[in-house]
Parts: sequence; C-alpha cells; structure tokens
Amino acid sequence: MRILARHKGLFCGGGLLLLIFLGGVFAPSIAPHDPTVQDLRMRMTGPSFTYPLGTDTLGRCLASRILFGVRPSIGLAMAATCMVTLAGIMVGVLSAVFRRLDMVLMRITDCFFALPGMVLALVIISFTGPNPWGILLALSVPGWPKYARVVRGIARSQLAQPQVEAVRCMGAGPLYVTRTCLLPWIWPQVTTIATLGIGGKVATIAGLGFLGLGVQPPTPEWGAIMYGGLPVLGIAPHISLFSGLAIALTVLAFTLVGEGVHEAINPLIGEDANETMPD
Amino acid sequence: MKQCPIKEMPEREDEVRSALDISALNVVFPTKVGDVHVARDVYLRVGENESLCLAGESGCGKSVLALAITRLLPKKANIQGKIRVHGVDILEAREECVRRIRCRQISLIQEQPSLCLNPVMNIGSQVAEAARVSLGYSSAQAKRAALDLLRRTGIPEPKHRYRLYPHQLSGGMNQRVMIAMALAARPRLLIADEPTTALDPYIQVQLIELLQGVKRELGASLLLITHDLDVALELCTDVAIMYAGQVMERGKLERVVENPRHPYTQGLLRCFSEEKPRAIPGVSPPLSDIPSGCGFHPRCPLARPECATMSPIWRNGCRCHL
Amino acid sequence: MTNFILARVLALIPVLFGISVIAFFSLAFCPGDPAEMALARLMDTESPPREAVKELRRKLGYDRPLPVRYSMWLSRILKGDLGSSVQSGRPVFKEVKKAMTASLELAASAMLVTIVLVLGLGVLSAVYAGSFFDFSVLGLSLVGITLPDFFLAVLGILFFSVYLNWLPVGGHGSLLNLILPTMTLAAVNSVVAIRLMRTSMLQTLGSRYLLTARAKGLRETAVISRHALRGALPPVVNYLGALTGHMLGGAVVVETIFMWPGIGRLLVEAVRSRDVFVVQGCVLAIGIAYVLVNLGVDILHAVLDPRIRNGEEGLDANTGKT
Repeated sequence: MRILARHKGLFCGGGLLLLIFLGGVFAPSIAPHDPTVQDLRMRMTGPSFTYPLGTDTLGRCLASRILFGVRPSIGLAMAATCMVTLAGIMVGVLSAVFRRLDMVLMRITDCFFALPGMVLALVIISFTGPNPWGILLALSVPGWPKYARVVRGIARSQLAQPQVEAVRCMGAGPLYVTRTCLLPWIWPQVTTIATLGIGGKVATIAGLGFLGLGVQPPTPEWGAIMYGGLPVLGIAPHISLFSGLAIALTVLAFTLVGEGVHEAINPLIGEDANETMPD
Repeated sequence: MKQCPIKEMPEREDEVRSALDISALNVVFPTKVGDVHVARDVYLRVGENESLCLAGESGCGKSVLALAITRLLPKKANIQGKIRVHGVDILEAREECVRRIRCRQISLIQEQPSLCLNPVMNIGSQVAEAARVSLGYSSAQAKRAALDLLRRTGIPEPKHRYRLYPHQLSGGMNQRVMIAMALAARPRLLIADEPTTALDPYIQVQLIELLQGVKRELGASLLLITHDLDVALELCTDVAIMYAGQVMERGKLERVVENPRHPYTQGLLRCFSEEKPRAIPGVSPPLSDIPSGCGFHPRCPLARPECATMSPIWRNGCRCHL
Repeated sequence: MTNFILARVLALIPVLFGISVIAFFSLAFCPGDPAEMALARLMDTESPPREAVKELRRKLGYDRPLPVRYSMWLSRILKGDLGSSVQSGRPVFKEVKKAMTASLELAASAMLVTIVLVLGLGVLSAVYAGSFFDFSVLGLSLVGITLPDFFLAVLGILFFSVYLNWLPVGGHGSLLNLILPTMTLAAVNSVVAIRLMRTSMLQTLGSRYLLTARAKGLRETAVISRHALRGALPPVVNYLGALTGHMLGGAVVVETIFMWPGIGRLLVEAVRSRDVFVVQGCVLAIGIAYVLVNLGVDILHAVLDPRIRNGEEGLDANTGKT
C-alpha cells in the first residue's frame, strides 16, 4: 500500500493507460456504433443517450470513432518508439566503441537536431505519402538522434570504467562487453526516455492527422477528428474538445508513467535526468 | 557610518568597550529527528583589539556561532540569548540595521573560499560590490577601491586579475579575495571561520601573516574559529574551547596551553603534543544526541557519577565538576 | 572568448552541409516530377507531352549523377535562386522570406511572453518553495506539459473567440491576431521552462556564495536577482534558445490553426501540393535559422557562464566538483 502512495503518479498514469489500452483493444465490442456509419440527420448533435459523446459533422458516432482511434495512435507510436530505441541504441553503442565512426555519426545527429521533429516528419511524408509506413518513418527518423546521443553518453562513461578493462583483459569480445557492461546501464535511461517519448509521438501523430497528412480516412484518427471539428467550433465544440481530450489524456498517461518509471529507476542509478526536449 | 536607531543601554561599563559579547546563547534547530541543540548556554566575550580563538572538533557547533553573530542562520533556527556587537543587540535589531552592520562593522571570512565566491562574476566586481554596498561608492570609486584592496591583500597584478573568475584562481588566491572583500569597509570585528583549512600549509602561513597584518592595520578584534591550534597560537591571545555545543574552558591562550583545566582540553592538547600524540577515545557525539549532564562525561577519564546527571556550572574559567 | 566563437562557427559548417543535403534530397527524391509539374502548369495541361518533359529534364540536368546535381543545385542556392513554386510560379525565395518573417514575428512575441512568465513564476516559486503558490505553479505546469499545443490552441479559440468574442480566430495583420497564437505558444513553452528555472534556482539558492553575498550586507532582493539568478540562468537560457529555434518551423500546427502565414504552414501546404521547390526552400530556411539561433544561444550561454568558455564543464557550486 505504501508503494502505491509513493508512486501515485505512476499508478494514476498506469491506470489511465490501462483503460485506454483496453478501450482500444476491445473497441469493436465496446463501441456503441460502427465508426464509419453516417447518419446525416443526426449531424453535430451533442452528447445524448444514443450517442454518448455526440456526433461529428457527418453524423458518425464520436465515441466510437474516438475508441477506434486508439489503435492507430498508440499502435504507431509504440511501433515507432521500438524502432527508434533499437536504432538509437545501436548507433549510440557503435559510436561509443568506434571513435572514428563517432565523429561522423555525431555530425549527422547534429544535422538532425537542427530541424524540428515536425519539419523532418513533414519532409518524410512528402517522400512517402501519408500511409502507415510513411508515418512510421516520419516518427522514427527525427527521434533516433536523441536516443543515440543519450546512449552514447552512457556508453562512453561506462567504457571508461575499470571493469571494462578488466573484462577485456580476460578476453571478452565486444558483444560480451556490450551485453554485460553497457546494456544494464543503458536500459533504465532509455526506458525512461522511451516512455516519455511515446507521449510525444502520439502528439505528433495527432498533429500529422490534424494537418491531413497522417492516418487517412476512413480510419478514425484523433487529430483528423479535431481538425474536422474546427470549422464548426461554435456550434459543435464537443467534436474538437473530446478528440483533443483523448489526445491530451493519452499524452498525460504516458507522461505520468514515464516520470514514475524515471523516479523509480533513478535512485538505483543516481544519475541526473535529461530535460525533455520538444520532440 | 550611519548609526543604528536601536541602541541598548549597556548594563555594565566594560560592555561598551567589548567588540563582541555573547551571553546565555542557545541555538536549537528543529528537525525531523528531533531538536538539535547546536549551541547551549554559550558565554563569550571579545574585547576591543583582542583576538579570541574558538577551538573544538568538527561538528561541535563553532560555525553556527559565526552565523548567529551575523544573523545569517536560517529562519527555522530558534535562537535565544543575547549577542552584542559594539553594544548593539544583534538579535533584537531590525533586519535593515543588521544588514548595515554586516560588512561595515562585522566581516565574515569563510572556509573553502572557492565555493564562497560567485562563479559567474569576476572577482574584481565581487570585491567592488562589497565596497559599493557598505561604503556607498559609485561604480568607478568601487572599482578603484577594489583594485587597492586586491593589492593590499597581496594579489599580484591586480588589474589583470580583476577580470578573472574564481575557477581561474587557486584556493589561496580566492581566500585573499575573500579577505579583500571583508576589509572593504574597515570593520572593527573580523570573524574568520576556518580560513586556512583545506589550503596548502605553505599558503596557510602566508594567509596567517596577512591576517595578522590586517588585524594590526584595522585595529580590529578577531574571532578565529578553527580546530588547528597552531594557527590559533599565531593569531590569538584568548581561547574558548567548545565541545558538543558548549564552551568548556575559556582563558588566555598561553595559560590554557600550559595548564589546561578541563579534561577535554587536556585530551585535545595531548593530540597535538609532539612527543606522544594520543587521541581522545571515542567520538564526539552528534548534536542531536548529546549525553545528559556534562556532555563530555562518556569520554572523560576523570568522570565521576555526578558528571552524568548534573550539568556542571562555570567555575574558574572552566565548566567542570572537578 | 573570440576563440570560443570561432570554434562554434567552424563547427557549424558540417551541420549546414548536412542541412543542405537534406534539403537537396527533399528535392531530388520527392515523388512527382518537377519538370513535368512545371510544364503542366506552363502549358496549362494535365499531362504535357513526353518529349517536352524529357527535353526539360535534360536541360535542367536531372539525368546527371547525384553529386553533380548536388553541386549544381548548391551553386544555384548560393546565388539566391531557390527556384519557383510549382503551384504559384512565384520565386521560392520571396515566399520563404515572407513566411519566415511572419514566423519570426510570432516566435519573438511568444518568447517575450515566455521570458516574462519564466522569470516571474519560475524565480518566485523557487524563492517561496513549498508554499501554496509554489504548489499551484507546479500543478499548473504539470497540466500544461501534457496538453499538446493544438489542444491549448483550440481551447483558446473556444474561449476567447467563440464564447467571449474578444479576439479574432486567426489571420495575420493586426496586433489582435497575434495574441492568441502567441499565448498558445508561450503557454506551451513556459511550462517546461518554468520548472527548469525553478529547479535551477533551487540549486543556486543552496549555494554558499549566497551566504557571502548576504554577509556583505546586500539586500535580499539584490542577493536573489544579482547573484542567485545569474547563476541559475545558463541552463534556462540554453533551453529557451533551443525552443526559439524549434518554434521557427516547428510551430506548424499552431500556425495552421490560427492561419498564421508562417514557414511551418508554408511547408505543410507545399507538402500537400507536392511543391518540391517550396519544400526544399523551407527546409533550408528552417535549418539555417535554427543553426543561427543556436549559435546565438551558445554565445549568450558563454557570456552568462564564464566557466564554459574554456571548454570546461560547469562546476557545481556546492561541491566544487565537475
């Protein structure tokens, strides 16, 4: 019980996240209506008994659309995060081990840092078009430099420790060194950043959807719903509000979990936090 | 110098003449683990142009006294008693008054000077700031005064070093900067809290000479806080030995060194003796958990049953039952 | 100091090169044939004749190997020729310049508001740490961190434009148009920055050199503003600088919602309409702007924190360790 009180952020966030997950997974069963079915007579109505969150501009059930919207948003965000994490770890470790490679890789990451995440995402979308693979790339490419940087930092400070020399003297190969000396230190930090980063990616997906360059209709996507609700903000504010709330709550949940994980892990490491940069 | 509006009537004639007069001082810090009695029933007096050394082990509460005198202790500290500086009751005076007294009449020199200087301001402007605040100089005047002070404290090439930052100077240099800051308004009471600890012995000698010169030139009184009796012997005439927040023995330095009365002083001097240095058995108690009666009794070789129960009274320059 | 600046400027060159490569790639690898699209517009037809397209491609050098194309492109860029928009026919350089100016306007005003908020709320909540004020600031900022910028924008519009009808929904032109987007961006920016300022201030407020400043007789406000704040500023300045660079181009969604003709919005339109020249121009402009802003911030950081000028990491004022 005391653990609960100490990590209340983590548990609130975790609970919220669980709800969202379940909502997304069981959307077909829970959703009151088919999200694509239009009922033009009931356009832009507010919350009612039949339509719990109201309807959008085409008479589709908002609640259903929001529930089904969990899947693309979180699914893509988590997939992208996995990709970014793996890529970042690889690059970071390589960069720390091979000094010459380090110079090149660091300059490359500098270039990526020079462009805001959204800009890079848009450029990538301009190559690939707004399909799921394109979105995945658009989320991953701007993200990996940050992970690479952090991993490189950790790896470098760990490689300077005497344990590594000792192990190397015993004939350990680079894989062994990586596995035993580097990874245990890398995982905690990376997990923290990754969890916090998922929230940012959800926001980016929503942003792309908002601009019409993300997940395409008819798949319901929160950002797109929000954009659709803008012209009618005066008469039907619930459309943009509820979709926006969905985005905000998801980001909040991931942020709380991320910060909770960070707090829980930090005492074991004793390292300082990285400030969360805008993704 | 602007006079402070509050001025207590001196109770005794010679109180007017003493630079520092502490009576019945008790300082308590309320903490999560209970009340910490940092200073218990302290009586101290430093006369004009005199110099008192406050000696004792680390953690006995010496530095707290320095902060109490300048009223720089954190707000949660519970201070009772009287502290008079040149007749002014520090604890009762208004904040504004105390602020003016700081640096004009009292100056504080601390240990670890590199940490006590602002790392993002150059040393010259920090000294100049002291001059500006305490003497009301303009910026140009303050800068000139700062250069002069830097020169007088023995910093070579003051014009060049004016623009340097603390991290670019050695510990000894930084301490000279601190002393320069302390001298700006020609204070009449200098409080030096472990000024030479953490510095090389060679630098220590130089700084001691500097302090001697400063004291002579200003005609100021000195309260030296240290655990190094060698330094004390160079600079001070009187000594007060502190243990676990209480003053255990007081008197002329030479007398105390020759003929220590309190068992703790005797033990302390044995640590410094050249023939056979012997440590006092045990460790000094944490200030949150002071033994009852005489604070020293668990380690005292001459302890008697009443030492554990009754607090000894002050007798013959020494606080002991014997 | 000049060495520092020179080193930083030199370090920029590879980054600028990288940005130019990214911009070039966005031109070269964008699906859709610029030659075809240009001809389509010129000839006012959906599918211009194959021969003409091929001829134009040869003339423009699209059949040459990549590195050759890159150098051709680079030489054109350096002369200021960014091509013309496929959609509107207007020179890209002009469009980008106009859009960048608008974004700068927005970024500057948002940063102004952010600075005020950060200096006010951040500093005060550190000074009065633990108070109700502090808790409310922390709570608000937690809420603010999690709300994405476009949600705040929508809320802002809902409240101020729709219900209260005080402010216009969007557009560009008067000061009123500026308010909502500015407030939205400022709100998003300040939440993390306020927390950062608070943490930084709390760290500096525990420093020993503040004791020295107080002992010099400085007023409390001077101690905080002149000593504590200056020590706490560097990391905040760093962060805000990065944020400024980020706003020039990263504020896409806010610009779109409020129909602010900034460079982010220009980029989105260009991506939507496959206007490759504009895309390339935007990428270049945003990248260069960010790099320049970063340079400025780095220099400012070095001015505020002299410890990093020589390439040292900052020293921790409390422990003296790096």
